[in-house]
Amino acid sequence: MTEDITTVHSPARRNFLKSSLVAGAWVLGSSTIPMLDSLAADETLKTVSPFNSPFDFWLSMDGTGVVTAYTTVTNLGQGTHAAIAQIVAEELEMSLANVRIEHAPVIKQFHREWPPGITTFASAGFNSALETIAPACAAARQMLLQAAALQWQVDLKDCVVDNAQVSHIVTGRSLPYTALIKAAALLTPPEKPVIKSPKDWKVLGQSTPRPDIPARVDGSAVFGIDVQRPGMLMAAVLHAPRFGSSLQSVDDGPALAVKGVRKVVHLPNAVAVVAERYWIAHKAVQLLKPVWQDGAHASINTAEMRSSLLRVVAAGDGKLFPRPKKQKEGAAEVAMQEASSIIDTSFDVPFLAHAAMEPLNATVEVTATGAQVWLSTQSQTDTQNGVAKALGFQPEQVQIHTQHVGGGFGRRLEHDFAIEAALIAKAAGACVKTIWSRENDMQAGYYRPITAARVQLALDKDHLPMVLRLDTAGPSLLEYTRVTNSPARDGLDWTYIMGWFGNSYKFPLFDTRWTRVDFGVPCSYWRSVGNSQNCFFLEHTLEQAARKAGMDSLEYRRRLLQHNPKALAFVNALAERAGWGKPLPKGHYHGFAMNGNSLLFSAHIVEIAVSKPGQFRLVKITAGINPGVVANPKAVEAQMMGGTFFGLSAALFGEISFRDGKVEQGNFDAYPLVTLAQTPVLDVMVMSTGDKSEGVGEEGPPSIGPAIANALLAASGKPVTRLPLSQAGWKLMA
Amino acid sequence: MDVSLKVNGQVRKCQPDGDTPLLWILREDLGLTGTKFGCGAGLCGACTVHLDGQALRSCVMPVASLNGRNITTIEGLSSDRSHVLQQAWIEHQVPQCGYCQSGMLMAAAALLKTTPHPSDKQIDAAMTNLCRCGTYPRVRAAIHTAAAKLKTQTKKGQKT
Repeated sequence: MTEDITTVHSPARRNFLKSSLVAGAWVLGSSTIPMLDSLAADETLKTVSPFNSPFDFWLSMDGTGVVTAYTTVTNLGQGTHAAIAQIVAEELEMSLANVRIEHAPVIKQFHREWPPGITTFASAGFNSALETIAPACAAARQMLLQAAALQWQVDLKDCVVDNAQVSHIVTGRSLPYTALIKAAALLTPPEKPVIKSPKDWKVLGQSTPRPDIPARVDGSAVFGIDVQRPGMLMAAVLHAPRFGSSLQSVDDGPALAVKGVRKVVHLPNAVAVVAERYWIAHKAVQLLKPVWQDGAHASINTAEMRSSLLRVVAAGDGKLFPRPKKQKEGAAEVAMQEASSIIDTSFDVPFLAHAAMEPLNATVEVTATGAQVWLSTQSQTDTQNGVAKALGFQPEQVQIHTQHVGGGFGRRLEHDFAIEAALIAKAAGACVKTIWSRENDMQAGYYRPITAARVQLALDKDHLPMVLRLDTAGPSLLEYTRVTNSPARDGLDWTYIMGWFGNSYKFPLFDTRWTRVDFGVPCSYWRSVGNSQNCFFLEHTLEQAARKAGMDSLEYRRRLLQHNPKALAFVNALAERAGWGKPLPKGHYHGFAMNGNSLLFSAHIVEIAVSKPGQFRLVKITAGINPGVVANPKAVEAQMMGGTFFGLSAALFGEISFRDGKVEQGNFDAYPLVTLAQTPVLDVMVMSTGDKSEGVGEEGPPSIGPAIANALLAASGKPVTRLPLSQAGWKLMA
Repeated sequence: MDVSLKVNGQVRKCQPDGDTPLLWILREDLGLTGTKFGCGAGLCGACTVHLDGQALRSCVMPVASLNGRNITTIEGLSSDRSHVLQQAWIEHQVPQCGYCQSGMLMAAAALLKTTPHPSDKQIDAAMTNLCRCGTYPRVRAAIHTAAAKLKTQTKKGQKT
């Protein structure tokens, strides 16, 4: 697989086509007549007609049998590129060894409707490839068959494909794809190519190894931070310590006096030093003493933010979300009055940082006519547009070169750091790599929003739900994010109800309200977004209801899943796998929580041990996921494992807190991540039912914390009303 | 000042600025970008290399103090991914994003040097590298696999 993706594709169309139309190679799907005209006159190329195909640019085949698919999904290590390679091998009936997956060039041909442009979010990567690359491969297969049939003058129905060859079943004649490409390229692509049904899968559905892993065990994979360009300079940055502050003045002298420093750059809310070496830039920028002009939220502190949010949700004056269609107006309010009892809990959770292992960085070169940006990113199109705007260019003048990403988790959906790097490079008049320190990265915002919620679950005389009321409050990430996505509707931030209406449990009536409370802290999408807090609010409420009913936690959940046999089957399978209901050693407790997603199921059962109040051990985690059809079981398992530990760090310790307007955490000492020694046995159950595949990237984080909280409730009798657990009076012991 | 290091078996010279950590000399002066920057404070281990065979967090070690010493980076673990740990890492499909894995592998290699057959507790104690993608269970499994392979190889070696 081509690992060097820094130079593969210039978005200049001419160069792109040239690289894939060599020696009779064939690009499937290009409405490129103007481009072909601009290519050098070449007899071979003249014989290849352009395609008018709805599958623009998804595939190219060279003369050696290698097929390259271009994907808009960034490789974050999530395994999607492997699954896409499986799609190609499956649909084209060829060996995986000859399949290459590359990041698509950032040009309009590859823009999708959903996710919009070229972007990697919503765990939609595999399904997006099923809609684009799979049909392109199926079309190509059809055309190769036709080319062979034409050449042999035989019936198409007597031709089959296997192992990158077309064979005539009557005579046994066969031709490899490489001998058919040119002829196939002249044919009309089928309008509606039919992709294989999962029941016919031979390659998909297998745990085939990821082809991008070997480069990750020898240091050869090039991440954004590793990009090297001729004459490149390095930059380090000091950001305003408070959000909303701007740079008032700074004496550049102390930095300019350092040998190797080339320039000091002033930005609206930062100052940067450009130098020959990163260490020089880093040391020099620390010598500066910028004066900042503070903004409106200069003295926020976490204690006050928490109490104001909790006050707001207690008051219950939030903006109402639309009721479910079948729910009559006023029905929820009436039912609330008629309830036998109400579980009434107020919760709050903090800002959370993404803290990917590769600190944010970008390498930019600006000329008079455009810019090139080399970076780890999840949002190529938004970055292209944002950088272009900041530099005064058209988007087409900005070339984005996607690198391997050392962790996305949603943070790399934003391009704030790319704009900053572009402005620095422009000011320096050179190619500059701007690297954020871990402190820069931790303190630059775009967090999972701080949130409070008051959940009132009205119960009937059998302790079953009548009304689920949510009063929630916090900042709106939709106001801060620069990601092109669905906007707020009618002043309501839809991320606050993720997993709420759309979960598997049956709630007869909903009453859902949100109050915008802003603190000037930029927020954005954090892996699983609104589910990251809503699963806790909901599942810990259900746990209290189960206790009130005197019922086993799972038995209570089963009552709410009677209408949903698939969910029930999933929960039962997980319970069996975890040994739920079997006698546990003294002081051990089980806890269960399921994420609120009706399209697929994911849940955790944890076993904890509590020896004395306030201290607990994690004994075992059993994770379960049923995403429908599974493209690559080991890859799904790895995602669920990764998501579990991502959510575990947050639940145990994760908190970005503020004092005097400043973020209190700067590095991993203050924002700890769970370590290998702290992780208990994790057993992952991957179930596969149905014929549709749902994305699994965000299915681990939501339910692990709530499962632990539910186990702690079982152990102590006291609800957990805030996360992280370290702030809720629960310490993880070894 | 002039500093001479042996990096992956080759003598390399540099003129670092004062207290430049080894990490940045490796990445910038020597172009060895396999060793990663994760925190700059010795907390995450992404920058782990070997100093005379022992694990070292290179982001907090001034290169000036390493004159004449032997450094091994991930690029020097093998020339072709053939190190028993690299093979185990591929077999177990350990990495997700992979950014922490250079450091993880170097830490594991140093562990196996001193403790060829580590217990889970010994792995816990030695493998303090941070991974945001949650690959820990596969790291542990791969270390056990590599240790077992080494045991077989040693036995074979002893026979001949």
